Amino acid sequence: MGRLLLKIEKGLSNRFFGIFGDSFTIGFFILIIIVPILYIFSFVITRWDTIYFNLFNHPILGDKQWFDLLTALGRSFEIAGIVTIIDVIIGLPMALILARYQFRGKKYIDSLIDLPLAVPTAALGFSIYLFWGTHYGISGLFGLQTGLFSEGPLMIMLVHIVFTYPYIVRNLKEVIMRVDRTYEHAARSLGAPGFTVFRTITGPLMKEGLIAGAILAFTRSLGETGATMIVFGVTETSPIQIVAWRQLGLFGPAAFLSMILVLVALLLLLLLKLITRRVGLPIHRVFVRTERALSQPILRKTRNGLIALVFILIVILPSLWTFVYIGTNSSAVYSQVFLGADNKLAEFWLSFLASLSIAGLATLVCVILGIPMAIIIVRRKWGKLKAILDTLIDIPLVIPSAALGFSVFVFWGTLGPFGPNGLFSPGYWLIVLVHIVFCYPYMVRVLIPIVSSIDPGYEEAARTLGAPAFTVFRTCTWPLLKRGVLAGSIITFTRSLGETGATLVVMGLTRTIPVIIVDWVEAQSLAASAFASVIIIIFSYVLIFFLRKITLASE
Amino acid sequence: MPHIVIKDLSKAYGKVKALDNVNLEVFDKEYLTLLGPSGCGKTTILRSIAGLEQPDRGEILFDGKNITDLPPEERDIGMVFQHFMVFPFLNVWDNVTYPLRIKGKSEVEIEEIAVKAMELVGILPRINEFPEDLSAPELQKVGLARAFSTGSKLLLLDEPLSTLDSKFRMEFQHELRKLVKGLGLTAIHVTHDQRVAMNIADRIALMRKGRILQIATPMQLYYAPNSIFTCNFLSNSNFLEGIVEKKEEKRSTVRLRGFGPKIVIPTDKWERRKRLVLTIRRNEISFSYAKSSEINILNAEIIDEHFLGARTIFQLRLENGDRMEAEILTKDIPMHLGHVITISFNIKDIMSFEYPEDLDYELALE
Repeated sequence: MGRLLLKIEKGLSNRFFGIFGDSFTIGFFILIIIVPILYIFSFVITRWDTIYFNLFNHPILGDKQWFDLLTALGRSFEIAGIVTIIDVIIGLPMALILARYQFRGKKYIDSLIDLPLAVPTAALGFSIYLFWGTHYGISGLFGLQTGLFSEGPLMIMLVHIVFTYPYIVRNLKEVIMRVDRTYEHAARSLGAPGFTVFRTITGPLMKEGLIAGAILAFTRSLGETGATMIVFGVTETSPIQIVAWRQLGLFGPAAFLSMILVLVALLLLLLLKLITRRVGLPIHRVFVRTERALSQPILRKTRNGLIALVFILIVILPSLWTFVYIGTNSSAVYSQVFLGADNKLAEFWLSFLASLSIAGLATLVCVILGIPMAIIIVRRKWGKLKAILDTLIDIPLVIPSAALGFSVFVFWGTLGPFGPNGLFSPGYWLIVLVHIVFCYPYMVRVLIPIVSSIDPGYEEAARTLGAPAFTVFRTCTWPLLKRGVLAGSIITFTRSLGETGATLVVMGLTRTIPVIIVDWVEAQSLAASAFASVIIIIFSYVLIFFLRKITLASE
Repeated sequence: MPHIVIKDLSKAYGKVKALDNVNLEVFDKEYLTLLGPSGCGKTTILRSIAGLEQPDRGEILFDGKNITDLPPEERDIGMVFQHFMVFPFLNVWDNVTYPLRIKGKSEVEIEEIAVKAMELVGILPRINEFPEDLSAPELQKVGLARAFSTGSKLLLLDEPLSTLDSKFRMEFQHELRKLVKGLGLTAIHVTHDQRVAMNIADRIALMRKGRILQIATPMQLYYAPNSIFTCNFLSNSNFLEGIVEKKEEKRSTVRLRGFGPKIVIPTDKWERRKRLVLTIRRNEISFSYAKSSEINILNAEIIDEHFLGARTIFQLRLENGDRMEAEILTKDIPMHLGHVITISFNIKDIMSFEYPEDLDYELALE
């Protein structure tokens, strides 16, 4: 078998196959991932008449849809903006603590931070809704019969802060750890107190990372659907509006709104790539007295205490509240899930299996086509083209998933370039397709640093020893890449498992776990939602636990 | 009037003792270098004085005031870093004025002080450039000007020359000493390069494994090292083992091991039968033909030679099998170099030490 394998590998190492592999990878990326997303522009332009009619001159609604669209957009930006600012304010000190301080239990805080990242946002949103919005939550502790807050903008923000928090903390932590502390030492030796050092030295050094983290948090908040579905009340954000219009069959307005969101996301991405380096921070004026006062150790301690409090009260407790709920309402859960006439258990299992198989398939495709893509981006000497590919990869990452889902739905469906019958109709396979689009950048982004950390010298050595290209990959590159692929797979898998926005648009009759959580909360079956949430939270967290094991072991 | 006194300073990183009860006094307007192999604790002393490192025990007095617990920004020091640490996002002007701006000085004052500092180091023409456009020596000049503009009388230098090319290093080290002396500063300079230390310092504190072995002027350190390690660290020396055979006034005769040749040393401080290590610097050995009965003339066999341009290094084997190295000016090498030659050295150039417990440890350059 060994000899046969070598022979096959030798055949595959042919130049022709190399070129074929590159073209296939890039072709797949362009056709399956980029074109469907950008198709929304062509769709809107070619059907502008209908869309215009729908938006402004609808016989019954008049320009109500246009008005709704503007409201939703405005709200989305407002919420995302406020969330980002709060995130930076509460995330920066936490990142600083995690990057700079050594203390017992740091490991646990570090992995608790990831909790909202790992869990499907619908489950997270539900948990937070229970905590703030129902009498099962915090208000119940004080004997109130209603929730502390009702559904609406405030609760949307609370949810968004929780689930964007890990993005900002992890990003900033990485950035802070990369800052060369000797610069800070130099500044202190020159007489700058702690606060001044942070503002005038650390700040500028971490500027790009800070802006990147903030933009990332902003796009996350802008695009979030799963959790928002649960707590929005009557305050439709843009993704919610897209899902709603899609379900009502109002494709024109949905397409127009999607297009705007795609455009905004692309602009933000461009901003990130081009502008961040040039943004200046106001560091030339120094307020000597104030900053000296702010540098006092007591203030630092107060800050750390406050951050810990915020972290526990705003992030951790609400995220885990479902467990408390299940613990105190176990009989309700049991009767609703196991004894109900509508057989929720069967529905749960069906969607659970659908979720797992979709995530599995999407991950598989992302592995197979992500590895060559990462290798192309790191290794090929294509100059500009490579930089363009590198930027394009991030597109699905920044686009609100509902808009992304809608674009893909339009492209492959009856309204797309494949004629009135379409190639895919809403349902299982279209979900798989959307999840591939959605997950692909995660996989490639995880693999890129790993591929670039592999010294090409090993491969060159293997080549000089007589191994053909494919054998080199199997025997030299793969062993070094393996852990990264596993880590990437877990991330991709959990992303797919938690995706809601795009799934809602393309799901047809298939249901995934986040979708049934949303459905059940809408139907006021809180107990059943709690059951589904807890299972998916545990499941995701176990996956992330393994992920941490892998990444820690490889460090 | 910076006058630094370090008392019983100790610091450990886990099990490694970086500083082990170090005592040191630096006088006003003195240029002191902390010299030693990497990991000897010299940087830890400097960083402790700067306040960037907190010692486990001991105290640091600055003009009699205990500054051990002060944060670095309140210590009134100027520090220059190995990798320059010129803030990459600020131009030269903003870098040099940084210590003035954060202290809230007026524009007039800032301009006056900064321009003067930049003039001194000669970086004034590049005032608007960013660090990425400057060469290594220029960056270090900016670092120096920045330290000067703090107005501090104490300059701490952490390997400031080690990242410069050897050509610039010589130039820069003379420049540095001149500036420090001209401004009447006190300087503490950390280096692992004995040539820099000899060249630049008023006094050298030689360190090893967290302790100061010897503090002396460069000359004293070179000609009167108090340990085999010091001798080995400062010069390329030969180390020969022998036993005192005869004692006379002001001199003794030592027989090298293995019934080797006799060598006369300029001291009578050792008892008879005492086991010693003799050191002779490589460059103090000369080749001679004279087969007279004078003292300290040995027969040696040449076993290898390394041509280094102006000088050539010979590896020699003595009659008893001991190896030596001799560094001879290439132009002095006799035309017909035989296999066996005679070598000689001056009696006053021989130093003697008690044979240590572990010679390999003493000779290890770490």
